[in-house]
Amino acid sequence: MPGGRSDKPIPPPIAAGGVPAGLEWNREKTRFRRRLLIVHIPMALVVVFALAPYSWMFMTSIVTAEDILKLNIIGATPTLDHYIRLFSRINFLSNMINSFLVACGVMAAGLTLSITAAYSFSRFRFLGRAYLMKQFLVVNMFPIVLLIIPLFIIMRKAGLIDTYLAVIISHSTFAIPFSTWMMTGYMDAIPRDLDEAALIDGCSRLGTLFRVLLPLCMPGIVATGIYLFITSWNEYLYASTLAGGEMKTITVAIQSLIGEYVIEWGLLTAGGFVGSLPATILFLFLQRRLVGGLTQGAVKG
Amino acid sequence: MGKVSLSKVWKVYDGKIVAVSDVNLEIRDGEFMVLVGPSGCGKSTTLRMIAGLEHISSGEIAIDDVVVNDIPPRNRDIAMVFQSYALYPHMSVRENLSFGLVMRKMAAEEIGRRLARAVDILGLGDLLARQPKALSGGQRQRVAMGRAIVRDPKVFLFDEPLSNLDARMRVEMRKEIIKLHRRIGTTMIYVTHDQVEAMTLGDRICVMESGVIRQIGTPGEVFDNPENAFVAGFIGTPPMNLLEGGLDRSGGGGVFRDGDLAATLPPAMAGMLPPAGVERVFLGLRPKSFVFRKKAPADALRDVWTVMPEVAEMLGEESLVHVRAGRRRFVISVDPHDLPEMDRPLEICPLMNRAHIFDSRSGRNLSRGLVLPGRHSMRRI
Repeated sequence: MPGGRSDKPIPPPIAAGGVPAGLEWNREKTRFRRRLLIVHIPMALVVVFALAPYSWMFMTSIVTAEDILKLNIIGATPTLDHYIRLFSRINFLSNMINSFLVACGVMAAGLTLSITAAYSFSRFRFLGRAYLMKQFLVVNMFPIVLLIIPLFIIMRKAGLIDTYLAVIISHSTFAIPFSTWMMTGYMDAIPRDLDEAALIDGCSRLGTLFRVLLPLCMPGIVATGIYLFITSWNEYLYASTLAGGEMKTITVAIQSLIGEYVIEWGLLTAGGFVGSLPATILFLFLQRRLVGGLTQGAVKG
Repeated sequence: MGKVSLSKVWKVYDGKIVAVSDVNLEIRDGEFMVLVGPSGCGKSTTLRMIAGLEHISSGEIAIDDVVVNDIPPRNRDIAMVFQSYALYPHMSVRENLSFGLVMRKMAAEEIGRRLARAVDILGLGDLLARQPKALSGGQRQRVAMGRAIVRDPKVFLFDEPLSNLDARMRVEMRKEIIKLHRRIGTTMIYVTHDQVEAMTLGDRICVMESGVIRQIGTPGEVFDNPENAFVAGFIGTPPMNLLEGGLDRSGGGGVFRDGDLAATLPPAMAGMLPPAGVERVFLGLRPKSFVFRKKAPADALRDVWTVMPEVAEMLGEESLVHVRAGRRRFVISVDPHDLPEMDRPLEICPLMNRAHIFDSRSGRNLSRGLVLPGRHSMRRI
């Protein structure tokens, strides 16, 4: 729970001043009650809503198929059966590698393009700047389904169907505009005086970007990188249309477990759990970096 | 060497907003030049054009006779101290100081030598390993100056470097900047909106308003002989009182009149005025240019003004009394031990030998350069 500061009740102070100390204690108590009501309980509800399906999925993945059908999930004997089948029978590992390579590609292409684009958007006032920024936002308002047919035709003409490149490019179409917005926001927060100081100190424009702006944008770059990675990792529609054959990503592979007559619940949940692991681990490792504060001390604070 | 010259420099934004118009300025080698003016007067823009951070719309800027219009900031051999200090937050003080030298691929030995010198001048010894966020405002300011000193540039540029400091620190740093200039003798161009800072720091001051230079001169010249009403009303704490009124030229002399107030111009001053064409003028009198009637010298008794003291501000050495005369309000400076009673009519005499007369239309000082006994002159030590 957030705060944590006064989760446990404070013992009443030793009555040094008699009544005032007691009053103080009462006020402390009502304040704690109020916080419990408006902060802690709602937060707990949100956490339960977010985690319950996830835990249910995990629990489903470690019981036998019979137990799943009998909905006997909580008391059943745990088994790793589904996980073993996942990797031995349907070659889930190669799907994971596919997803990983695609996500890394999207992240690399996305960061390169969005950082340089954000630098121009943030630092230069050029003709069409506002228009382009608006276009980048508008792109996000169209359902991505609209782009599938044209993209498919382009990719087939270019002979890229069932390749990493096809999926990377298609994911970039909707991930890069948004990450450019993200990066522009981070760069706008860095005072221009720093660029100018660096320009006078001997940097070229590009030198300023690499030596001053990028180190300071690190939290933003990490956040944008995670966004790009996870967006691509979780994407299903493009991955299945443009590379649904030889080169399945995990989302496509998991979907293929839903057959016409049978749904392999055990494999499905096991795949879902494994699939969600990288994103979870990524977050756990990098969340500290996401909390910025690097620009402290640059200018008068 | 570090001579800077601006000739016919203009800055126009989007083809219509004029920020700086036709600025001509010669800054000598080793000179401390202060650009001063109210906000939006174009002083910072001018400085940024010298630095190369702002494109020059037209005209030429030369450093040591080399036109720098198209030379990027890094090749102009200048160093700049920003109002926000602009220290690189991800680098230690040592890295901040040496960044400019490393960028220029200077030998480690030389970097060490220059760092040692700057550290010695500014007393940064025990701060070198710290991050900027662990420094106080004054220390950050010092590091920002150190970053300029190690560069050993032709010209130092300061963009309101003291505005973010508290009042005491500001006085302290002002002194340090003067000492620094004496010690290293490099040309310095300093932008500020604070006329006290301008007066105390500058060898010469350039007063700007709405993108135009209003006067260039030593602090003494600017204070004693303002070229126009704007400079008179800007320089000095408090600034010169400017009273608008008519000029009565009947009888050969000159008498300033505004309602009940009349002031007789000394003959020498009246003689300087153009024979015709000036009807409306500003009479400029500094707060110290008034005396109580009871203490007035004989020649001042010609004009006696009855005013109503409204508010008194005690400043220690002097008290500023805000007075009303008819519909005009102005400020006089009095001895705090001789404070007049508030809201009681008071008789004062303007010391007209010290007065200035400005054309109310052009603002031009018509009595500029006049030498008269008692006209106050500020000397620079």
